[in-house]
Amino acid sequence: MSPVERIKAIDAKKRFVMAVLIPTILFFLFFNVIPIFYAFYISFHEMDFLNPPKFVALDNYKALIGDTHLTSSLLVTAKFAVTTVFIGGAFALFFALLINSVKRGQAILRTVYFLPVMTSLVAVGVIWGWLYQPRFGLLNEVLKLFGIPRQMWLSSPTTALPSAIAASIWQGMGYTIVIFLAGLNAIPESYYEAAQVDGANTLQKTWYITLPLLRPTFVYLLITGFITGFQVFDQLYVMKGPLNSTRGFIELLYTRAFSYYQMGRASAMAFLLFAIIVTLTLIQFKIVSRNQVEH
Amino acid sequence: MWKRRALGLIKWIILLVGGLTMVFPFYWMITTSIKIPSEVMKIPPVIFPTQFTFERYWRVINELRFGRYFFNSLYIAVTVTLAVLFTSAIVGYVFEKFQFRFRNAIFLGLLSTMMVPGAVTMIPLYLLLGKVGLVNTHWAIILPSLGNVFGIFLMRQAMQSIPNEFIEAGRIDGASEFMIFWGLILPQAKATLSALAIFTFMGQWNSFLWPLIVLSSQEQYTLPLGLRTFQGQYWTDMGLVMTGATISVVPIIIVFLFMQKTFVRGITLTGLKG
Amino acid sequence: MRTRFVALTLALVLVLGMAFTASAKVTLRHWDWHQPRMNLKLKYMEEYEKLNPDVTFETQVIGWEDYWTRLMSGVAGGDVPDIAQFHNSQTQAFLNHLEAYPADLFDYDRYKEEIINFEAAYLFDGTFHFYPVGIMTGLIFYNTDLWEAAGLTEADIPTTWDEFAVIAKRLTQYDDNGDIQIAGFVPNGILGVFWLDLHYQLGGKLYGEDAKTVDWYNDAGIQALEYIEKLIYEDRVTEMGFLSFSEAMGTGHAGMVYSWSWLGGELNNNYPDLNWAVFRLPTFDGKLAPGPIARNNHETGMSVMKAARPENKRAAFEFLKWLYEETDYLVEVNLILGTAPSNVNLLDDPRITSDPLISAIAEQVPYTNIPGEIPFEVENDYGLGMLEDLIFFGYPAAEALRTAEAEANGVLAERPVKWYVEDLYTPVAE
Repeated sequence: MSPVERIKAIDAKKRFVMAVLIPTILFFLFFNVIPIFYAFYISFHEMDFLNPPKFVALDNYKALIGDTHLTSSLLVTAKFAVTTVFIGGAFALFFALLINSVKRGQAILRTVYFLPVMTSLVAVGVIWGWLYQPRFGLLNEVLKLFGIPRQMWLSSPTTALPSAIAASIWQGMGYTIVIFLAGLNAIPESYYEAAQVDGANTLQKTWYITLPLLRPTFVYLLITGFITGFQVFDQLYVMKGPLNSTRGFIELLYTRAFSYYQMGRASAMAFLLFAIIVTLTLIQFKIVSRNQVEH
Repeated sequence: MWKRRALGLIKWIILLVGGLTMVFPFYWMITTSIKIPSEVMKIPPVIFPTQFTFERYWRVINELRFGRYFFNSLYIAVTVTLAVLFTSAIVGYVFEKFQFRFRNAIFLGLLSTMMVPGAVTMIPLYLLLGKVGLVNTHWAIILPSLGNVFGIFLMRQAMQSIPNEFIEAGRIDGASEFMIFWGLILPQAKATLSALAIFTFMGQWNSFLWPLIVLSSQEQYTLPLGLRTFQGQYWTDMGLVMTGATISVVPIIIVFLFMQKTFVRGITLTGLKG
Repeated sequence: MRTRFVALTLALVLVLGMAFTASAKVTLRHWDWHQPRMNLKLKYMEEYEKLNPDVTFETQVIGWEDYWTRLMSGVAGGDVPDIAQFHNSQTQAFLNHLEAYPADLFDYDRYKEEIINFEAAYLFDGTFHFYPVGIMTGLIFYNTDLWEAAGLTEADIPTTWDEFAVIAKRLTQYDDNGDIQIAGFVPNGILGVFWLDLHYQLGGKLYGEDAKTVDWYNDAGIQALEYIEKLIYEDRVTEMGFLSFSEAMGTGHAGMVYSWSWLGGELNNNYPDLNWAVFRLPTFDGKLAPGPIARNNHETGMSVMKAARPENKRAAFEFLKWLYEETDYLVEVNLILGTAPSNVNLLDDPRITSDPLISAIAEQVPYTNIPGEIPFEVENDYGLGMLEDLIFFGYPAAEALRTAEAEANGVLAERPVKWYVEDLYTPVAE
């Protein structure tokens, strides 16, 4: 390529980047950033959208300190997020590898494992409510067969959250499985063939080829898993436990925003959560880039 | 030999048992929608109903302006999905395969817009759209959904598996940047695009709170809005709700099955290597 | 000359145009969350449109869970219906945005005489903003098949709580493992609300002074809660983790439950094979007077939004005036909701008297009190609902009350109650 053509080519690249990035940034500025700034503005007011706002400076933020409802709900959400990402991810990886190794019937398996994600959350909630019913539910009947005493599951404040998280992980696995399958798809067959020739067994193939090449997928699932996990609402709401044992941060936020009509306090809570999630994400990015491995 | 057979068997047992539990809520949803009223809420639940009624389906179709809602939901979901596939892929491609200043900062900035709970930005966005006269139109639902940061992130990760030499080859051949993206890159990311398509379609199809806020007349309702009216102030007709849920899930399953063929492992890359 | 001609023509056109628009169609928008009630209204709206061709209606049903969020965003965005179905639990939030029913169309004095609890439940600063439709209260629902099978007749219907406990024990059946198969009485899921009625019967109240706090942790409260504790732990008529009251009742696993009258609708719709009946709440001394023996609440009618256009508001009130004079409408809407009519004149209507559920409510209502508005969270998760969780979790009565009271006070601090009329109860003569 001549120098002139090379210069033209660079410009073409730059032009392409600009053509893509500028509308993107404008889009997110309008539809996301402006409302976020408005919400931030609201967080310094007593605001219910039904009456004129009242400026209260940092009161909403000061109220966050020592708010036991806040800390307990944040703990619930944090437990949910961490368990879902790591344990849920592990289960999903396990099943994704199993499904991926099946020669015939993969399509059916994919569909079957994705069904709960497509099924109405109300239906899922009713089913698990019945499974978990302490007196007449299926799980306790099964435990009885093995002589294990019946559990309270969602009906006791101590067991409600683990039960809700377990059900949520089981039902939501399909989403993560599909993402893993897409990632596994991108690994060329030739790598495995070469390893086979070198005499590697299944475990070695998985450890040395599959897992490293799934890295982009792991990164995606880790980061987005925490971002969405910390904003969980529906999964905990549909499997309510006693004494606020399954009340997460967003549920408290919704209550303050739409039941108490305290948008200002809700906004302050939102930005506290924002700060937490940003910090966690930055830490994750740091860890991820430190372990960067070129293939 | 024995070991391999045994492991294979165990593998299938695990997959089948797991699969059964996955199917069960779905199965219960469908059968409940056609159970006779006295069997809907029985304890223990009726797993194999012997009597059926399709009356609820008639009720849903007649009581709601069903055809209208279904059509609204469908064209909104399809439009948004196609748009998100395109925008996520091209933006993800740019972030992954191009170097430019502030690349990480901009990406993090975009990602951070997903870290503010939607509950507090919902009404501000609604008021903003009101100021530009977009409320009470389907544009108020479609436009804000055109760009999806998680979609961009997912596609960006998918791009990591595409070797740079591939792109350079395209440039040397004299293809324009857009043609490289459209003709060379996109086909390589089919599986991830499928995954994104099904997630986007599903999310858009099921979304109800935002459409509720921005729409002003029942004519414009999307399907979930109509179906939510079946959940009452004091109690809920579970049979009716399951009927709505079953109807709602059909397009999602169709999209999912349609996307299945793209999960066949690509051989193009190996062809290039050879 | 020419310009003057043009100006005159324009002015004429303008005046004529205004005259035409003055008599042009008014479109009244109406929102409700309850489809069956909306269906009833649609019939009457059709009739009204025939009588008044210059009025048309545009209706929208929004699910209960989203209704108030939608109304709130509508107020914020300037997009409200002309007529909104209302619920008095949202008084504090929306009262400022409701138009007062005009005195020239609506006879306030007549309502003070005809409408039960009109002054307590409906008047704010001398005006009312949502129409009185019906009253609901708590009753005991029982399974008539199980009742008969236990050898009980109507004569055995308990009037004191001691008798009630005996009946509950009799109705309870255990399986071979000693687990409860049929619970004699299931307060699960509504225990706190049930407790509140017992608290009233012992002279207690919901709120403390000016409704700034609740007033639960006292002798009356403890005594009431200890009665319930005894039912659970001594008499073993129910247990932690048993089905919720509506599920237990409907699936035949409960002999009796406490519920507000809306349960009738659920039982008829979701459990059509069940045979059930109701009786009024027992009391500690067996007497009803002077009361209050329970709480009541009103299912209100519609409101006109302040933000609606002035021409629409007048037309809306004229429609509401016509509608609320239609006896058939008022009777039918009460039957749909499972409430006793607020208007005493309707209590003799044969459709009301022949309905055993509504008759039972109507009989009990004079002995019940309306405290004012109760924030949803005080009634559920952070107040009365928490009381149930604590009792089943093993907290003793006194500590449970103290904890629940503190939680409820926290809610009231964040979401104050404006409408408080608990002290307006008129005791019934013995």
